[in-house]
Amino acid sequence: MNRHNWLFFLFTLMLLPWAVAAEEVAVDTGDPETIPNTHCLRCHGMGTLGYRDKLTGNLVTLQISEAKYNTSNHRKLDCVACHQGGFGTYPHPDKAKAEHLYCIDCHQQDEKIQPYHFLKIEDEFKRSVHAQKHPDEFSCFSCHNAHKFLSSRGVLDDEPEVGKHLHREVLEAVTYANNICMRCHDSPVQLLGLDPDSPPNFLRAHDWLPNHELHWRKVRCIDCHLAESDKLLHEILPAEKALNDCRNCHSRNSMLLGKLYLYSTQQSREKYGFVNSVIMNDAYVIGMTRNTFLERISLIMFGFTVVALGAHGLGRWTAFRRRGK
Amino acid sequence: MGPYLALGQCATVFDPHLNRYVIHYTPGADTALLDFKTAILTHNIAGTALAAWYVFFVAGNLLSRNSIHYHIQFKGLIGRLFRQVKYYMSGMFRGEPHPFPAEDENKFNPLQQLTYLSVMAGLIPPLILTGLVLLFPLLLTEWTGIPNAIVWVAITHTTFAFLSSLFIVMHIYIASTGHTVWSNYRSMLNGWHTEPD
Ligand code: HEC
Ligand code: HEC
Ligand code: HEC
Ligand code: HEC
Ligand code: HEC
Ligand code: HEC
Ligand code: HEC
Repeated sequence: MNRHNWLFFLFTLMLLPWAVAAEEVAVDTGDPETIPNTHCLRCHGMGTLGYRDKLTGNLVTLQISEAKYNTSNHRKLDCVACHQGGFGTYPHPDKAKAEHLYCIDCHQQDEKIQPYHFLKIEDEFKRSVHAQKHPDEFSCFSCHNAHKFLSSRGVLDDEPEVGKHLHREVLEAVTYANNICMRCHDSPVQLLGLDPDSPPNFLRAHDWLPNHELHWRKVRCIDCHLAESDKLLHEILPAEKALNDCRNCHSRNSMLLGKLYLYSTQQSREKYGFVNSVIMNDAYVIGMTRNTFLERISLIMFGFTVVALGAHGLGRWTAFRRRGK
Repeated sequence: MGPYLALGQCATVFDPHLNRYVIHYTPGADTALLDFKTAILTHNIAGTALAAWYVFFVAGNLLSRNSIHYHIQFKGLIGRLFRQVKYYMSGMFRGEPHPFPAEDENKFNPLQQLTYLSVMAGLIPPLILTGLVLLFPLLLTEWTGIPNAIVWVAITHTTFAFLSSLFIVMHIYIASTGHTVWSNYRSMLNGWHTEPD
């Protein structure tokens, strides 16, 4: 199917009321295939299904993890809702295999997914270091896998009130997001495929940050590598523009409040108030409850006391010496 | 007994304070005196010890004669306080004798008496209570239903902790105003008060 056919597919989809259960989408688009996922997963559920890429020599896996698929944003979709063109038969027809999918193709003007701003994300992505330096190699799928994709808002509730989200825990979201980056940056091997000469030195670049391991577990790479106002999360800046001021996070108006903790704590925030909800998510950030006013006052008072006592002591000493004479 | 009590007191009192500074001021500065995790752990242990010591202290005073030192005589108190302050401000420099020398029946001068009583009854209990609450940050909201109540507990804890560290600095300094500069420190260790003979 080419791009135009995709638009047609979208068009038909839009005519359908979205309330229709996702499983039926495949049927109603006129696609003859109504193949249950279990059919595909018989083969694609196997860990061993894969091939060695003739060009790079890398092993390419064709396994789809059923567990991850079922907790992803796309969990309600049939495989064939996306993979059209005859995957029901094996060997898969060449025509089907030649198909290239792209997030934007499906998500351009989809009401339900509007809040994600796919088009703006695409613009941001195009301005990111990755796309700027390697426009051909990078796409949404360099970082996202349609079969595992889970947004930081979690998945939409099954039940009527649209917009109410099942939240992921903060730490889970951090791990999820950082694994995306680590997949390439933690291992030079992965990077070699793209840039054999100068893979960025990930560990040395973060020497200045105390306790890497803890930070990797508790904050996302993108919390430092995006512009602070970037709520769409995709314009990764060149390294020299990355955030390196501790106070951005370790302060009362920590920017993490508007970013990392934005969605994941909403529910608990309603119930427990903000600070508690962050504590509860095991992410109590030192410095966030600091009160700089009190701190300053107390330091000044302390200073005065010490100076006054020192002066008193000095007075006693001189008086003592004078009397001694 | 006395010396050990004094040392124990020092340990339980100092550690939370040192640690408080570590915990409170660390992340801003790049230099950490203590590893943050260690600081938290010792602060928790020492804080709990302080709470236990306080129970011991109150019980001890209720059960023994020691509490007489905390019985304030209100008659003429203002005048006596004034004399003591005047001594610290000027008399001491002229080598005048202590207006209220420590006696068996009256270990503290009126100013000390008033300060210690307010510290022991007014400052330490809220400090310990807020500290205990902070050990279990989530319970407070569970019980009271007030979101972010913990912030105010934290601010109270910090404020009282700060006041008590002011007290400690002054306390240590005032201890040097005994018979000689070192005599009071010595008597803390051996339990005897030395007077000029
Ligand atoms: C009999 C086992 C089997 C079944 C059933 C099966 N596949 Fe495959 N599939 C394979 C194998 C083997 C390959 C790799 C060889 C190839 O590309 O033909 C593959 C490749 C693919 C690819 C990658 C094509 C490419 O080269 O990029 C997709 C996409 C795919 N299958 C989707 C599906 C879908 C969707 C279904 C269910 C409708 C399905 N498959 C059912 C065995 C199977
Ligand atoms: C939301 C759409 C969507 C659904 C639903 C979906 N896929 Fe995919 N699939 C994709 C995209 C996008 C790609 C990547 C295509 C590319 O790289 O051009 C892909 C790639 C694949 C590949 C190639 C290997 C790989 O991981 O890149 C296989 C195999 C595959 N899908 C199987 C499945 C199976 C089996 C199911 C059902 C359990 C399924 N897909 C459901 C969108 C989907
Ligand atoms: C072949 C079409 C197709 C492709 C390609 C595709 N999607 Fe989807 N996606 C869908 C459909 C259809 C839904 C609606 C699912 C539903 O109604 O439950 C959806 C739903 C979503 C949702 C919202 C789900 C929710 O419950 O909130 C997100 C987020 C999403 N997709 C992200 C992505 C990302 C990121 C990519 C690229 C990696 C992508 N999609 C690629 C078809 C696609
Ligand atoms: C360099 C890696 C990278 C690339 C390339 C990339 N993304 Fe992302 N994307 C991420 C990360 C990291 C997150 C944050 C995941 C999280 O916090 O849960 C994310 C999150 C998202 C989200 C969810 C936003 C939200 O509010 O939860 C969407 C939608 C998305 N990406 C779409 C896209 C699309 C569309 C493209 C291609 C134009 C793309 N991404 C390319 C790394 C990437
Ligand atoms: C606390 C903020 C912070 C976090 C978190 C962070 N980085 Fe960085 N990162 C920086 C800064 C600042 C630099 C630039 C250092 C320099 O060049 O002096 C940098 C540099 C880099 C570089 C460039 C290396 C080079 O040689 O040019 C890469 C790649 C990188 N980071 C990836 C990541 C990844 C992946 C993660 C998540 C695991 C991450 N960063 C987490 C602040 C951060
Ligand atoms: C598909 C592999 C891949 C993934 C996934 C990936 N990167 Fe990169 N990244 C690269 C490569 C390759 C470069 C080297 C670009 C160059 O300098 O040629 C790079 C460069 C960088 C740089 C340095 C840019 C500079 O100024 O030199 C930063 C910062 C960075 N990535 C951050 C991230 C973050 C944050 C994520 C996760 C959201 C991420 N990357 C995910 C492959 C990846
Ligand atoms: C992007 C936000 C961010 C930035 C920037 C950042 N931190 Fe952190 N830092 C965190 C988070 C989140 C934690 C985890 C708190 C927790 O849950 O224990 C943390 C933890 C710490 C800890 C506690 C470590 C421990 O052993 O418990 C220290 C110390 C620390 N950071 C120091 C720094 C310093 C120094 C800088 C600047 C060089 C810095 N951080 C920059 C977010 C950040």
